[in-house]
Amino acid sequence: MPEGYRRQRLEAIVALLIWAIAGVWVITASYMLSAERPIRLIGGIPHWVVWGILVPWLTAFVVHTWYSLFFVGSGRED
Amino acid sequence: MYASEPFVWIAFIFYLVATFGFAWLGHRKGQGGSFLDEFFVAGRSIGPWTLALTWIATAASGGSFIGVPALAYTYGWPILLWICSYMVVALLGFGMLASRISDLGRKTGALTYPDLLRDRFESPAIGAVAGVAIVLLYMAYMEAQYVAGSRVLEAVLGIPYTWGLIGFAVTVGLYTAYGGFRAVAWTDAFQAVVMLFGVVLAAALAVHKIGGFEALAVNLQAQDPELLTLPGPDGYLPISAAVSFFVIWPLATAGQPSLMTRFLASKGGGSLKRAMFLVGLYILLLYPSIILIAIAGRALTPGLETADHAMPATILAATPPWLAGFVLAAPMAAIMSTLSSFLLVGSSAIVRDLYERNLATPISEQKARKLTHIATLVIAVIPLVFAFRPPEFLQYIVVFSGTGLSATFVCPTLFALYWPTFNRVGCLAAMLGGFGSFLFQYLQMGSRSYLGLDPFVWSLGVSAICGVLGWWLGPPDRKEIRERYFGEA
Repeated sequence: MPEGYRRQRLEAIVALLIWAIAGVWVITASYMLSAERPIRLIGGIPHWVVWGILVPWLTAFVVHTWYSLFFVGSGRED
Repeated sequence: MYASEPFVWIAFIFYLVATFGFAWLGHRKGQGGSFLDEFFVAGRSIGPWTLALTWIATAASGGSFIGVPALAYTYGWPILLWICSYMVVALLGFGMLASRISDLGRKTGALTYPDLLRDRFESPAIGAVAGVAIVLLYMAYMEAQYVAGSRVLEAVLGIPYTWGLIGFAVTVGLYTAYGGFRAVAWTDAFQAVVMLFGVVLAAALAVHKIGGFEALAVNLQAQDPELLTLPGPDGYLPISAAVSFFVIWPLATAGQPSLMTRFLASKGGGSLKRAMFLVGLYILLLYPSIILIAIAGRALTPGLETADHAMPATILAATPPWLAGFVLAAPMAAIMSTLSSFLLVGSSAIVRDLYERNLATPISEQKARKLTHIATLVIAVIPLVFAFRPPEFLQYIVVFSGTGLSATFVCPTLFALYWPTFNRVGCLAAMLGGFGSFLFQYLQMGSRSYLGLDPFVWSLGVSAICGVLGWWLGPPDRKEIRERYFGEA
């Protein structure tokens, strides 16, 4: 089996895993933190938005940067 | 409805002139080479910046700039959870598909997405089914884009709805038919830049005008504390819907033929890596800004009659007139870039997948050019006719056509790319099973299917099961195919 194909398959599987981890973090954290009363704010933004969405989004972007610039293999460029 | 300041008109006219300018430049650059190769995939020469910007400009439609802000205006912060799976859209869209599709496109000479499937399975039937599905579902999607664009023109510039529709169709139809993929990609790139700067600037100005995030929170709490908590007003976002949308956005985006086609046009390799990074960065800046504009709009312009006006109303309230026109071009740019891409993918389906590939001999350059221009104009006109009388259930058409396309194509595409023994019966079964299941659930239950999940989520499972059953029951494809695509006998 060619190396290029195996590499692309691995990249697809890793992308799916990152998506699943992000989903579990975002949905669990958002609903758990949003249930707290009274509503807590961090700098005017709801507490659950900061820890359930903004922090995971920034983390996902760091992972995305690693994935796109370092993990994905370089193929041919004409 | 809103004041038509001269500055707004000037900015819009400048925007249109620049769009035609980029289309002209793209057309000039694309002279020479095979017409179909140039018109549909720009000679596979699209670099990272243009690829990233055309990809995101196509993905972000009028819905992102009209529908999503309307929801955020109505339901507040919970809509950020509704949309936040965009954090992995680039990762999945590029990570699962880009490199593989680009490589196979070069290896097989595929010009369109149905081309890719047809060659992979040596099946004209698969190419035809994919082509028909693309034409029908994208025309429905285009109707919604026409309506959204005309409503923006009506609200912001006071242009009557009918004239707005005609203006939209003529503008987009002309530059798409004139310049093909390269012109569309270049205008998309310009439009994506307009979109991003406009939206980020508007978000910053809107929050500043309210007095910062603290003041925004106080205002929202006074209106309705549910705007700050889950599941939002009227229980809008239960956990089942949040799960559904974490599945829908990444996979529904990845499965769009108009986006997969972009990988066929790329230079491949390092270009794809850089484009992927850029799309992730772009999305990080774009979507939170869109939500912020609408939430700030709830404080700045409360009590709008139509939530669809949340974005233009907030922009006009938050930005000085000389800047408003530039910022208001952002939603227009989103709608036009999506429309042009749909036009292109629709015309390629007709000319390449339904006509040229079924002929015994290749057609001449001149005939290809003529047919492509006619197909592009016909596809521009048909949804226009329906848009003159937009149906009440327009939003259902948008969601139906967008997620319907992906329910039809996500599983067959992934199986075709990564499963060496997957066969043509499995591919057809996965396509028909995904679409059939989606249609059935949508007609029976609307947008909330079993367990409160969206029909798209179940349709992916049905499509996968049908694909496996079809593979099991169908005859294996030729060994040469496995060798060609996977390097194994």
